[in-house]
Amino acid sequence: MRKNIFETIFFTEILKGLSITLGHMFTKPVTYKYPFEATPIQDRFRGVQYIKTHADGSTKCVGCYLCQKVCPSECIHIETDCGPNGERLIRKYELDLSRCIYCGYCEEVCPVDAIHMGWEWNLVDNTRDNYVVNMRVLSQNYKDNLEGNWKNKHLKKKLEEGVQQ
Amino acid sequence: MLNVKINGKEVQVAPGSTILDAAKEAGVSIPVLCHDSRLNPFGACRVCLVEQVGMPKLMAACTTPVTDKMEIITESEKLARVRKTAIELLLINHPLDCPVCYKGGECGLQDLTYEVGVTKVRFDASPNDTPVDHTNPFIERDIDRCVLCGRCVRICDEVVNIQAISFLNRGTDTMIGTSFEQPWNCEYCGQCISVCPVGSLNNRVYLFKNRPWNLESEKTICGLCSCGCTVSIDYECNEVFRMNEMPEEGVNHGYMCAKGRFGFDFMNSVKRETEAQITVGGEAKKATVAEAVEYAAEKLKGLKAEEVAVVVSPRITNEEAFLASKLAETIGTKNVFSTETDEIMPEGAYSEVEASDALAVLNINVTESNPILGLAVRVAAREENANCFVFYPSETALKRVATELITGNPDELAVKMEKFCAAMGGADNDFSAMAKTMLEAEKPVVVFDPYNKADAYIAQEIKKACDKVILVPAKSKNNSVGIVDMGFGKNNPADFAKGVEGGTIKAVLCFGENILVRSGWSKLEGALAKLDLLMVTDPFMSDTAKAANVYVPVATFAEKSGSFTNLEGRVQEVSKAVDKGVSADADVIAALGKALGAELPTDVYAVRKLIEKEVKLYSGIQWDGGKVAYPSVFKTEMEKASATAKGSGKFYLYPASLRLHSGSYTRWSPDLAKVYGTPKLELNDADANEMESAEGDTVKIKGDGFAGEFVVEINKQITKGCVSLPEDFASTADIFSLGRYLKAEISK
Amino acid sequence: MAENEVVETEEIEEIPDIEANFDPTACDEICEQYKDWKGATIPVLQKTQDAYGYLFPALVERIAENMNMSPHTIYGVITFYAQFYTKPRGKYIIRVCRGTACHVQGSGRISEIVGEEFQIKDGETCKDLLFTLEEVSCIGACGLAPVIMINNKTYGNLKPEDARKIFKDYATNLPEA
Repeated sequence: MRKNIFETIFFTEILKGLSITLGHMFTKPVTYKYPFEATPIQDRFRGVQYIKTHADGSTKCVGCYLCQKVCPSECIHIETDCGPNGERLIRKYELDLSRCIYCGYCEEVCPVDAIHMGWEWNLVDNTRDNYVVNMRVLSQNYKDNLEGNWKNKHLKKKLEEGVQQ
Repeated sequence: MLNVKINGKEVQVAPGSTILDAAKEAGVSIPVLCHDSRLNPFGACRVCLVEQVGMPKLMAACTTPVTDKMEIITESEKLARVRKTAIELLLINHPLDCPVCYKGGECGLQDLTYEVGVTKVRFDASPNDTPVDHTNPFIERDIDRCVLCGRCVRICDEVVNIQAISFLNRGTDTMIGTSFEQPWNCEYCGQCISVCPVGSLNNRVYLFKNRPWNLESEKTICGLCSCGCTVSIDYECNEVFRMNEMPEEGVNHGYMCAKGRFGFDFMNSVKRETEAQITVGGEAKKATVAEAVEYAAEKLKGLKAEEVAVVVSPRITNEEAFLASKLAETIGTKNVFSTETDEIMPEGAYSEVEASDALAVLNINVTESNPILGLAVRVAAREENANCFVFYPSETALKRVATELITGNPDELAVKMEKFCAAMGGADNDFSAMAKTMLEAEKPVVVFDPYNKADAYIAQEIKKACDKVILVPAKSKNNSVGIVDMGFGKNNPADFAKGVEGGTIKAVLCFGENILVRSGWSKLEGALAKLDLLMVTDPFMSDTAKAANVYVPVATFAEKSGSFTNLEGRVQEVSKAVDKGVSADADVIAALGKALGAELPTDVYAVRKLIEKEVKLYSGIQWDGGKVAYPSVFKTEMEKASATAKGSGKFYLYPASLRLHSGSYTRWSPDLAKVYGTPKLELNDADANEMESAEGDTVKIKGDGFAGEFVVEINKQITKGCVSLPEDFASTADIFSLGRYLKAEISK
Repeated sequence: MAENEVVETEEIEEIPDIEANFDPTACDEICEQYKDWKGATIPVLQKTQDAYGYLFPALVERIAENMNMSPHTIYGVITFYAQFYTKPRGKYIIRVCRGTACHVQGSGRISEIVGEEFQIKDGETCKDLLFTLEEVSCIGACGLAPVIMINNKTYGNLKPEDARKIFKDYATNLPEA
């Protein structure tokens, strides 16, 4: 390989390299000082589930057992019953967040658009029991989602930016 | 025999078989939707179309009879296209809500759609949005999902013969419905649910509780009446979610009744006891089973052998009944009782009833007391050249198929039946023609109520007059026959009442029986309280269990293995499906035996070996469906019994069988109790008008030695001047203890 | 104020006398004639309809009882055939032909006139049970288009005013049906 005399005398290659380094000195860093700073979340991030409710506050879930069936980690447990007037009642809906692998199959299989993967991921707790969430918590998650009551600061910011889930 | 080629495979079939039958013979499967082998061919869905070589048109395999040298092709490109279109056409109006439809997962249309590979419907029509009908307490009807295969209408017509539903309107407006859109009111047998290929008719007891893919099944025998139906218990995690038919299997051919289909829920009842209880001096104390057994054994040791009585219920299995008889042997007592006696044993089988060409149903409402036997009677009676004579105080559901329905008040009926009996013996009277039909028939069958001595005498006389008559005594409970075979029919039930009242019996070991609601025993409440020991095993805190010193909760038929002997004397295996954490009767009996110094096996197979050795009738019996060969129907010559109504009054009162209940067991089922919870007095509409009482009113009934208040139910079928009350309720058992037919006064 | 209160009365459909005071004698007689026939449902229904005018629930129940059949099966037959009616019918059945020829000649307008005169639509009966309007496909008298039939009488080449006159005439004179 023949070297260019000009490049040899003026160390252009080194300058080129330095320019990249210098350039990066003035760009925004790509790393985040977690946990002092929130990491950004992509729109399609799969966090803690929420279950949508109707306008009157009742759950949209009809207890069809499809999410329980499709769940690969078997973290959903449902018990349903028939009401006195032939309506569907959901006696129990439990989701073990410590077992959940956040694959999002439950969201995909849901025929009535009830369960959704949320953005929330801040789950630190003292006991394992608290990871088992029920319908009340999941519906509350939906409400929080609508109202923007996020535990994580970045989500609040994201909402302010006008990104709707 | 005809030679037919199906997809190149040659088979021989009998003339009259359809292409579908021939294909089955050849091992070729043709998709079907509206076809059911138990029903007549219909050809509504056009899914089973096949090609015949040399014929331009396609033919429906389920309706076309084969001809000799026919060549059939069941798979071709053309057929695939046609089938696909047929399914697409069915799907035009069918809502695609499979994920939330509770048939999803076991739906015939869903399976077909996958099978023929329909992924998109080319036609554009919006599904209807008719509200779901909840007027029937057991059957939910979603008319939008209906594909008009007509299976429900046909089974209700051809098998059940109630015709509670029909096709309404015509063309694209066709729908399944009732006359003038009245609410569904039928026998609640649920046969229509079992044949519905889609989620149009749903079992409300099971609905929204679980999905089919979560359920495991166990084939067993229903333990609610003596029919001995093969059913599957569908369960998840020790909870029974439904009792389902097993299509075309068992003596019941996959048919079931309301009790089995909708009344199983008592197994999961929260009212079931889980802990044993010892009552000392009026104070109940929870105890373990071992403690309870020990307490009972201690008490027994202080008593003489002849002061102890063992009572078993027809609910328990053959094996348990045998162990109970062994226990009685250990104790050394001969006081073994049940509500059954060994005077009458089974003879005829379902197949013989179905094939019969002349039937006489003597004073029993067979479709209600033994629904599956009732279906067999209907199958026979519907035949073109078969005759069916029904004797009953009121009109029964057999009215539509009966050649002649002989009704009248109990006294009149008794006279009529005696005349019929005399005519069978050669006397010349109004019933001679009827008797002639019976005598000339090839396979005459007489169905009668073995608990009614007067009827049994008539049945015996008929058998004497005509030896080819096959008798079918319709025993009532699931193991009524079996416990008698195990030795619990030797003594007269009346002796038990005498013994307890007279004080010669001081201790009663009662396995499963609810003594206080049985006619003849219901007035023993005071006497039972005075006993030194009353040990009761029952899944529930029954009336009798409440009076017990020692109570042990036990398993229902879904929680134990063993065998039941049904009304035809067929021994059938019961298998354990779930475990509710309570012991079976067998365990309790064995524990009690051990405490008294006898080693009794609890293993079903070990007990069966002993039974085969010691019970002559059961030696070498096939435990899974073998029929016990009884030497004769009647143990001894029956004596003529009086059937005249006792007492005085304007109305005749007689006991009615209830299709929704079997004894006192099913009363714990919340769903059945919703429809029929308290005893109702059935009354003719004319009588009701005279008394100015409407349905739901409370009336007083008074007769010699009894009085009571009941809610009125108006039933046009009841003969004028008669009223009926159900048996086996605590309030009615007292009344019928006095006699089967009574006279009474009724006032508002 | 009480006087100014507008009381909205719910319209209660009046039950015709024949249904309200149902006399089963005629029905029983007809059923008795056909008792031993097989497949006699349709003649029995036709005759009872002739006798009673239309088939109401109590009548169907009665027929079912007499014929040892299920009322639901009978209702299935009734709804299948266009010749059976479950609603009361008028004394005069006005059949307006809506076939091609009549349509072109403006039979739609004649239907409208019936509506204007008696406040009924296709298949309906007016409240005094005098007139029933039926729009039929063709009554085979295309030469007379537009044509109507009132019971068995045919009126052809109608102009709107002719039709109105005929209806008025029927309404005032009430000739024997």
